[in-house]
This record gives sequence, structure tokens and C-alpha cells, in this order.
Amino acid sequence: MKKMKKVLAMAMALSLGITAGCGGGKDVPTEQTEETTAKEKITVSVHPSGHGLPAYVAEQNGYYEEEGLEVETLVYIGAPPQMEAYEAGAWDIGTTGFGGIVLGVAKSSLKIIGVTIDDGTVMGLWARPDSDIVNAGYQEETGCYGTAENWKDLEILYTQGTITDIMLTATLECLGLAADDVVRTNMDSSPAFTAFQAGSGDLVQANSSFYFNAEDAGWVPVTTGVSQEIYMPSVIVASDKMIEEDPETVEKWVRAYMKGVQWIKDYPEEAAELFVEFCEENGVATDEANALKFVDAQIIKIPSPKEQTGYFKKAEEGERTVLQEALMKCMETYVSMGNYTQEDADALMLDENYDGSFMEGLNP
Amino acid sequence: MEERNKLEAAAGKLRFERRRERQKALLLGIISIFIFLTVWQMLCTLHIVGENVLVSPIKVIQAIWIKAGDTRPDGNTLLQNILSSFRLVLIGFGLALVIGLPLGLLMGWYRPLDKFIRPIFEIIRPLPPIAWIPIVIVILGIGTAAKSFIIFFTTFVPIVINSYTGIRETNQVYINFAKTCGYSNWRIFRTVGIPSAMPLAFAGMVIALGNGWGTLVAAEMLASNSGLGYMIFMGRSYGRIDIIIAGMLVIGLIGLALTAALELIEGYVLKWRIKEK
Repeated sequence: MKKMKKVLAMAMALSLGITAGCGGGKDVPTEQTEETTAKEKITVSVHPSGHGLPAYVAEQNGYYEEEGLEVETLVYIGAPPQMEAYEAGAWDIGTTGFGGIVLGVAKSSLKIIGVTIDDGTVMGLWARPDSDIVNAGYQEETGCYGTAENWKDLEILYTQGTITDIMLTATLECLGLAADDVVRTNMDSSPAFTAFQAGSGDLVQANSSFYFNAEDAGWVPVTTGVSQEIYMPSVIVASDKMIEEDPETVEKWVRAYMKGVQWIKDYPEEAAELFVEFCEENGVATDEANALKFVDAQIIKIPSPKEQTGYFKKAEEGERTVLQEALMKCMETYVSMGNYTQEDADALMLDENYDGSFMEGLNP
Repeated sequence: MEERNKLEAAAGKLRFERRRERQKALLLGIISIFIFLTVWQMLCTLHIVGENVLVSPIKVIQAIWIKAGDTRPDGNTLLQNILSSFRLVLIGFGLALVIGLPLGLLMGWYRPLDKFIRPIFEIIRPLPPIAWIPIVIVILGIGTAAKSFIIFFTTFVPIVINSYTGIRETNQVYINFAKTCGYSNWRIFRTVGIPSAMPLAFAGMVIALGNGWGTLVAAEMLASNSGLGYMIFMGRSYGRIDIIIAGMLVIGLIGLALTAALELIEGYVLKWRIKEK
């Protein structure tokens, strides 16, 4: 037993010696420690989608280091868990879509400080090619396939509480139908896609990178964000506390994010590769060809800081900004559907919820 | 006669004491709920917890009241959601009862059947209900059958285990006595095995029913346009904490009522056991 203890002690000493030796050979660890302590730490939150990619690019290309930031990135699959985490104090700055805007800005303390992708550009409800609705053909005047008769009582698989609600409502309005005229089944994108493939439902939501997977599957987009002229920007948000207490860090992160945007615009093919990596790391299936289509169709269109400045400016006092107008248009639909209240809409429109100064600061 | 009066007086005293015990337990229960609700209300009234995290019990009750006649924000009234969920739970639980109870009893009584089925059962048993969702979508679609299957699975396991264990614990003396009387194995199974398994089997049913309601949210996460789980999801999507807690509270209350109903049935079916006590 004593012998055994000796052997163990020697082994431990040897291993410690090796470790110390390895470390002692270079001075790098000491430098790294100093560097790390000098960096400002922030926690960022994104979705595994188009508006999350510039943040991923910033991380991969070292833009955060360039700005002297140490960033921890939390990736949430949707707005509800993202905003619940915000309430719990898990993050301070990030990007989100419409659901997150209402939950985080109108109902909580986030402020909109920038604009990212337009969700309306790559979204659609898809039908099987042999379905009646597709056979009825595309109708120019309604911007969708089929007639009111074809649409009535169809089962639509989609995530309720997302921008798809807006597209569906707009389509139904054009057809003279109401939300109750169709069967709306709430499902997440991924299981909805699988269920539709397996024969469930009549129409399925396929937005973002799923849009091109649906195209590959041979399905037909019977209505799209483009055909219904939906403009719905995802946004960059930050907590009011952080904006007040540490605006420099917010500015640095926004700069790193916008560097990511510029890199995507300059190198779309490499960006597509990173998007596949980003999606795979977060359990979303896509391939490089579809990722490139997605990058080309949506992500490279993120407005520049100069363009964004215009989104926050009012033409005249008392009027709404371009951004407020776009958000209000969507909000009105939700209020009419009874999902949100007029108080929520009014809260979203408060000027104090918008801060364009960070984008302005990035202008040369 | 005097002896009998004494016995009756003692029995009366016992009944009185039991009643007092029950009243005490009830009172303690009421006090604990009252304290719980008061603390909850205080946390909200004094803004110790923000409205985005927790709403007061009064607001939850208001939400339940409003949802009774209002379809916002999920498109259904509370009753429509309750009925939809009730249907799912009853189908899943009913199927589990019809298949699981006889299966557990037969496995417990007939060793070859036990040896044949048990390995498969043991592999399936630890699988969480949510793990079934991807396969269920492909095989059963997204309708009632799929959601009921998830509830069936979660209720099936405790029913089988408890009925199996119940019949395995049948007193050997009763079995031997029946054998001495010349009963066939099947008759002993029916007249001795099944009755003696029933107390544990009922306990399994109570657990199963609780599991069923507990899995409802997962089942309705699969795909739905009505139900209490769906209502909770929609409350989450639209940031309505009052709707989320109202849904949770209703699920809890229905679960409690169903468990109480099951215990009443147990008391009626197993009268002999209570007398024996």
C-alpha cells in the first residue's frame, strides 16, 4: 500500500512538473492573463438565423478582440426563451425578431439601437405541387396561389406569434377571408417541416434557411413575404441599463457586429460556409448551397450604418420614424387578432425605446 | 348489553377523533394555501418580483375569469382548451389502462409471458415522452393520435409496473388455499391474484393520471391549435404571464380533481380492503 502511495505521489509530481515545464517555456500565458483582464466582458444573445450571423462572423474573425471585448454568446431558438433569459439578467445586448421586439422592448426594458435583416424577404407558406391550391395557379391581384375557396379550411403548420402571422393575415385579407377560415396549427419550424414531409397539413411555413430547403423539396410558395410586401426588420437591442452605464461597450459591440455585416457583403461565399457552421453548432440543418442563397437573398441586404440612421429619424416632430412605422404596421395586425393589446402597441411606439446614436456614431 | 354500550361508545369516540384529525388536516391545508397565496400576493404588490416575471394571484384569477368567455390571445375560451386537453388525456390514459392493466397483471402471473415481454418493456420504460416526438410525427402525424400516444406512453409505464408488482405480491397462503380447493390457475388468477393486485394497481393509476396531465404540455408542444398546453405556449409567445400561470393552475386543479375522483372509485371498488383495515 505504501509503495502504491509512493508511485502515485511520484506520478502526480511528474505530471505537475511536465505541466509547469510546458507553461514555463513560454511567456504567453502571463501575457494572455493580462490581456484577458483588460478586456470588457459582455454577454450577447442571438438566434441561429440571419441576424445572428454577423455576430458569429465577428466572433470567428476576431472583431471582438479588435474592439477589446470578451464576448459570451448565448444562442436562443426563439424570442420567448431569449426574453425570459433577458428578464433573468442573462444578457445585455443582442439581436431579435418581431416577437422579441414586443416582449423585450414594449413589455420590458430593451431599446432598439440598430436594424439588421428584413425578415419579410425570405419567408413563405408552401404547398405540395399536386395540391388544388397550386393547380389553381398564381393570382396577381392577391399575390398568392389559389382562390378563397381553395384556401378555406386548409391546415397551416406554422409558429404562431411570429412574423408568419402577418404574412398569413395579409394573404387572407386579400382573399376576403379571416384567420378562423383556416386551421392554424402551432408548430416550430423544424418539426413542421418534418410533419409536412410526412404528409401532415396542407401548407407549411418555411422561412429563413428553411425557405430554400422547401424549394429543394419541390414545394411551391403559395404566398411569400415579398408577394405580400411584408417589411419586417429584425433589430439590434441593448438593455437601457447598459446603454446608460456603459455606452462605450455597446458602441464597440455594434461596431464589431457591423464589421461582420460588411465582411458578409464582401465575402458572401465564405459567409455561407460560416452560416452552415453556425447553424450546425445550434442544431439547425442547412447546406452550403442553400446558405449562399440565403446570404444573397437576405443577409447582404442589411442596411449600412448610414442607411440605418435614416430609420431612426422623424421627418417631422410628432410623426413616426420609418422603423416605428414598419413595426406599428405589424403590431396593428396583432392587435386586431387579439394577440397583443393597444397598450402594448403604444408602449412599442414610445420614442425612448429607440436610440439611433450608435449607428450614427459609426458613420464616417 | 353494557359491554355493547361500552364498545359503541369507544367506537363513537374513535370516529370523533378521526373526524377531528381530518378537520385538523383540512384546516392545516387551508392555512398552508392561504400563507402561500399571501406571500405570492405580497411579492407582487410590493414589487419584489417584477410583473414580467410573476403576476399576482388576483390577476391570475382575473385571467381565468376573463378567459372563460374571451378567446384572446390563443383563439379559444378556457372551456374549449380544457375540453381539448381533457380529450387527449382521457384517450391516452384510457388506452394505457385498457392495455397496461391486463398486461401488467398477466406478466406478473405468467412467468413465460413476463420473460418474453419484460426485456422490451425495460428498454422502452426509461425513454422520456418527448424523445418519441420525432418518430411520432412521421408515423402518426400531428393529430389527436400522435398527442394521445405521448400521453399513453407516460401513463402506460406506471400502470404496468404497479399492476405487475401488485399481483406478484399476492399472499402465497391464499394461492395455496385456492389450489387446495381445486381451483384452476386461471380461476386463482381471476379470484385471488387480481383482487390482491388492485390496491397497488390503483396507486399506479393515480401516478399515471398525474403523469398524463404533466405531459400534456409536451404533447401539445408537438402541434396544436387548442388545449391548456397550447394556451400556455401562446401565453409564452405573447408575453402573457397571467395566461401561463392560469393554464398551470387549471392543469393542477383538474389533476387534483381527477385524482380525488380516482381515489373515490378506488374506495368504492376496494370496499373489502377498507373494511379489512
